[in-house]
Amino acid sequence: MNDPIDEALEAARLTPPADFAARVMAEIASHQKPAHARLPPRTRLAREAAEWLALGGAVVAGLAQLLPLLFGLWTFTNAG
Amino acid sequence: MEIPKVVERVLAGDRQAFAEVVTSYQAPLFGYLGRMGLPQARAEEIAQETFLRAWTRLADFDSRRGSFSTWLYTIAHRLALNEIGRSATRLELAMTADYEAACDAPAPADSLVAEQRRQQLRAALLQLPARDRAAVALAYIEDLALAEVARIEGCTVGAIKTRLHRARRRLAALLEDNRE
Repeated sequence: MNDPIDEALEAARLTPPADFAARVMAEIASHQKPAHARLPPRTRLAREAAEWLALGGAVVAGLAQLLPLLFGLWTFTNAG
Repeated sequence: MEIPKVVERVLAGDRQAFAEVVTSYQAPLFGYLGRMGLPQARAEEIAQETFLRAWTRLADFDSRRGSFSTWLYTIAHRLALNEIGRSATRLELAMTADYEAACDAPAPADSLVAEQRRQQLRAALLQLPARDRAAVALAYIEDLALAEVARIEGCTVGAIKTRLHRARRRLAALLEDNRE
């Protein structure tokens, strides 16, 4: 390794302790199940569908506000 | 290791499958944290916290949006930047690095010279601005492409290339200064 920058980056490298994975798994064992495991796939799909539905509703509501405004502007500019 | 399958196994309740994730990613993660200038003890804490968060938030991982490694390193990157961002810690990092060097230095002269050189190199790396150092540290993770580094950093590939160029130039200058 001749490049001093590569050498610097290699010098800074740390290594995990031999028992690191075991320590992490022991810590995980003391936790509850991960959040995703508490939600069955169908619940997740239903939640995603509800999010899309809410987004669609917001878009419709926004258009319902915007279109009358545009129509009003168009009427006003053509009134004369 | 096929991460999507391992993730599926974890989702199905196979907790031990997550050990494969930890084993696969621990070495590159520690490499990255070291290049960010963190001492061993801090790196261990952050690496552990990274895997714990990945475990608890696995539901948020969506393979359609990006690779698992990008997702995992994003968690680690934010934790590392938070750690480095604390001004008191920055001083502590430098002091700890020096302390560790003094304690770890072996007696034989050759090893001592090598260790001193190693410390000079680390010190030079620590003098880089955190953002530039982050770009370098991420770019040296083997399985991350520049586009993924840019995604983790939340910027363009061009910006990452600029940071890398600037960091390498600054690092070269610092190393040159040390040599004189």
